[in-house]
Amino acid sequence: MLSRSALGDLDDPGTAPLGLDAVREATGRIAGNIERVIEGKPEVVRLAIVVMLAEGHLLIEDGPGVGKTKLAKALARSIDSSVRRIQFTPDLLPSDVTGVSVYNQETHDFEFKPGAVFANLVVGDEINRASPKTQSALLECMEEQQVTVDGTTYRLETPFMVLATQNPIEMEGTYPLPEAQRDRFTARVSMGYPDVYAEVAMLSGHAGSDPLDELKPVSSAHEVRALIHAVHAVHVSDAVRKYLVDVIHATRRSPELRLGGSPRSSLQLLRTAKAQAALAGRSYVLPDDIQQLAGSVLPHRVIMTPEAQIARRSAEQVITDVIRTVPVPRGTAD
Amino acid sequence: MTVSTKLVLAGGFGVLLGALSLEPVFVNLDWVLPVVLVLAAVLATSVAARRFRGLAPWAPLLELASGLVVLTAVFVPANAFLGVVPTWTSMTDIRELLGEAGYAVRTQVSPAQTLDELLFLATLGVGVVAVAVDILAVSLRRPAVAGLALLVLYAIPTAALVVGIPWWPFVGAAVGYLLLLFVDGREAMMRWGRRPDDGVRTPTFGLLASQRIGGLAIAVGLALPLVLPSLPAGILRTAGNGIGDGPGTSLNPLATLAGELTLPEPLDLLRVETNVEQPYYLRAISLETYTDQGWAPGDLDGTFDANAGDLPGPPPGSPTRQVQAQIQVLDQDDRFLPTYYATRDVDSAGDWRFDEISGTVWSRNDRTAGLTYSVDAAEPVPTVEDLQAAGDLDSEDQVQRRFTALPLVVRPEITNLVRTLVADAEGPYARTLAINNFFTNPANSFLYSLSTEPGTSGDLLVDFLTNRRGYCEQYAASMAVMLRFANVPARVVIGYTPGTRNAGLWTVTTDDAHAWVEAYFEGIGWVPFDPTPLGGGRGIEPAWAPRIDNDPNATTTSAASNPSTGSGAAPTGQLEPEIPISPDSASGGGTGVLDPVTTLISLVVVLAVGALVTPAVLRVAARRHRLRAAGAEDGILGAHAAWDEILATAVDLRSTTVRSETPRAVTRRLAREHSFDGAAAEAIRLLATAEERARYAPQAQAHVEGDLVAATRTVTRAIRQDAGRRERVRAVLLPPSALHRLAHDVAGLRVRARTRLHSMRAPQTARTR
Repeated sequence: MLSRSALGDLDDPGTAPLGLDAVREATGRIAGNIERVIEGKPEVVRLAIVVMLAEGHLLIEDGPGVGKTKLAKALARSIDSSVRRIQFTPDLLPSDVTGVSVYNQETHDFEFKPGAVFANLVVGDEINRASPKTQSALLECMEEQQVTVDGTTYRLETPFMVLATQNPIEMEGTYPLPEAQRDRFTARVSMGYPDVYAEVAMLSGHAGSDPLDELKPVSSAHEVRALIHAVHAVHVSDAVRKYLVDVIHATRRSPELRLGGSPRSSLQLLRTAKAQAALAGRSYVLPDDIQQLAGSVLPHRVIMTPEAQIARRSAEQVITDVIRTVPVPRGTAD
Repeated sequence: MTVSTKLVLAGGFGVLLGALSLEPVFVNLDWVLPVVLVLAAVLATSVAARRFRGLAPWAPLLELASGLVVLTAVFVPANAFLGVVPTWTSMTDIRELLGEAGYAVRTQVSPAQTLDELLFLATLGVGVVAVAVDILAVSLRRPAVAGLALLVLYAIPTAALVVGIPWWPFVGAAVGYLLLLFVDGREAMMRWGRRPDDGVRTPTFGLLASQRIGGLAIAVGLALPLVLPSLPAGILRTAGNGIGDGPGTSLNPLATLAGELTLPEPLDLLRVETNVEQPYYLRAISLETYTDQGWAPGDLDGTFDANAGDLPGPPPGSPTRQVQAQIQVLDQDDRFLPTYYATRDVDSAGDWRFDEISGTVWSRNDRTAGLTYSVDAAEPVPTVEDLQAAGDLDSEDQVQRRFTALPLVVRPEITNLVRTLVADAEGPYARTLAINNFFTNPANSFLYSLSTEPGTSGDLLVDFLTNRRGYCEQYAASMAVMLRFANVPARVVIGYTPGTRNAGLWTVTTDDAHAWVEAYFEGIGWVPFDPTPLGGGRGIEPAWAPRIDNDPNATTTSAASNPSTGSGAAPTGQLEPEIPISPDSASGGGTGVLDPVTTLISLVVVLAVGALVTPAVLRVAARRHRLRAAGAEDGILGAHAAWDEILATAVDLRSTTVRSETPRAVTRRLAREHSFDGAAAEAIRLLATAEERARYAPQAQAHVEGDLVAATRTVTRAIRQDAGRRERVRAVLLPPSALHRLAHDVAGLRVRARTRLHSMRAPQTARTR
């Protein structure tokens, strides 16, 4: 499971970047597979794939029973790669996440037992039920893509993606994620209730057996690495880069926000935008990508002013309004 | 009330308030009724036409028609069908009225008499402005631009009044304008449902912008008069301390004259009954002494008792006609008895004396108040031949010496002018006529005005001859000086024009107070000449001094009647090289006159029309430029140009542009708003992709295959087809995209200027640090 060489695959000259058509075909295949389980939520599925290709982590937030875990599992299962699931509980220990060194009687030596994060896809269920100490252990791994135990640093494999689910913070028995930790998630997505038809279809489909069990992998870790590599090649013009920064700056100036977007959010917005462009089979990023993704990438990072909260404004609304104030650049191709 | 009705009423109210600016232009309020009638007709037509959908586009034409009906009914009902419906003859009447109005504008002084032709002109102007405001504010929904039309109203007193303009006409027009903007702003706000966002640019001028424009206009309007120099009246004012203390009571005849002419309401002075059809002017006194202080009466001799009869008259044998008159004094009170020249006998109560040299009847102790008296006079009626036959007086002759006396120094401007004028004239009459023609030739642009402009030459006479604006006093004084320099005995006479005739009685009012010139010819005596361009039929044109402006053939006539001396008026062309005279105007007379009022009005009109047309012209130019660029080799610039044209077309048709819209967002919105068909949707997709790639794609992929020009045409056609007729017309006449571009350019200039200022200042701060 220990795979320090996994990262090397990316720079391996043998792994030629995929063409954009191949990217679209592959991602379409994965999305189609997931949608067999998650009905009526194509945009959520799409966002999950975008975040994966952007080498980010996804926070799925919603009430119980709307399919948060199912989405995470379906994505994990669609890719033939290592998948670990951690059920966060208040008594979960940091070592359960990262791993622990145990004394091997036979070799008379300490041996590292990797924790749950040593996988390509880690599904963290109900992350806000764990104690802050355990939460931060996971979050460190997410940011640095490495684990340090007893002074030894272990790299995590690529792709590495954490799909954490979270109940709304008002629920009982939760430790809300601090904003500094929320910032590590690339995007937050809300599942939302399925519409009537999707729910009826779900009832008829899920009645006999769990379709999740029948889900076959349609991609591999190797292919996902190639996809990620292809995303790197997507072109971003100076004008679009400037536009992105303008949007982030506008959130910092907005009178309705106490805390605007961080530089990390700029970076992650750019990465997701590139991933989305690649998903669309486009070799360049458009302001449209940024406008669409800002609603998922930014709201969980910003903090609203009390006035805006009293006015019952949601962070998504505020971000949408902020974007409407930023003029789209008309810079010429470079 | 519908929005358009509100706008119509607000616009009408604005025009009505703006029309208040006519008040200082006229002497009384006779103009109010026709103006209100025309305004009411235009507004009612506008409201009614906009009630019916099908009629709305024709509203301006209907308004013009209803305005014409009212004008016809008020001014030329005689030849109209049923008194209201315009006919060919009534239209001819209107054309004549306009011609007379042109003459009245040139000759009348403000405040002007409420002559029919002037009333017509004013009413017509207000009506046209009302229709223009209606078109701009209601049809085209550009109330901010309608301010230009209101400005034209305000320009009338500005152009016509030389004295200070009262503040309230401006406030009236400004209030009307703000009201218009307010109604439109409210309507625009309601259309939005709330205050427009910062990020949203609306093609209408927003409420805030309206207030800013309105505020700026008021500020400029109020500040400008403070900066402009004020124009005090007065020229050639001699011993007088300005205006006298009332009609007929001053000792200074010139001050009396000015006082009478500037009375706010004319007073009836005399009632005259004569035995002749058309009496000449009534004289009160003549001024014979000219010093550098101006004209003054000479010493009066009291030898002759005027009541005694057989007073010394013109030389024996000179052609005269007998004039007898019964004169009743109404509101006049003077020490000089108004009589006809040459007075032979006076029958009046009181001790009235006759001064032979000046021909004045005067009294030491008695005054004219309450008198009724009769006058017998022998009026000189010389023929042109008589006058031409008259030679110069002997230089030792008493009259010649006395009435050609001038100060030692006469300004070279005047002497040179006279020398040029009389260069080809032989005989005193030819010289006199040449000088008279100099004043009456319209090509020389003399203008009648009770207020005069102060000049800079230091000599009032030279100032007048330069500014060419004044009233009888200046004309008479100048002509008399010039005659004297031309060696013709001359004097200035103060008195009254015949007045108005009513049931055989002539009524002379203060408005008829006048000054003119008499010149002496051997064997004939004193012959009157009147160089002043009097309007309203007050002046008399004697056979020996035909006015050039009344006779298109005057130049040739005088040349023909005076073959030995050549043309009297012709030299003016060479004399005044600084005044451009076209060959037409010099020979045609009356046409091509460039007086300041017309010039100013035309300037305002040209500016207003220019300001109105500029956006449309810019828009057409921009479209052609973009389409050419779209078809050019450079795909990137072509895509930008084509896309700009799509955006501009959408903005022109009042589609809302949001700066945060990407090409794809615009495509979606336009396709939705204008329900594009397949071809248009395909075309705009091509254009959007081209623009998107031109903007954001790497160089290698920046180009898109396809005919951008054809696609642009398809899309703009689709957008335009979807719009209403009114919107399309507005998009052509007042395209918001061009207005925005202008505003954008101005803003850009400002930013550039600031940056430059900054960079200029930067080194200095660096040094101080």
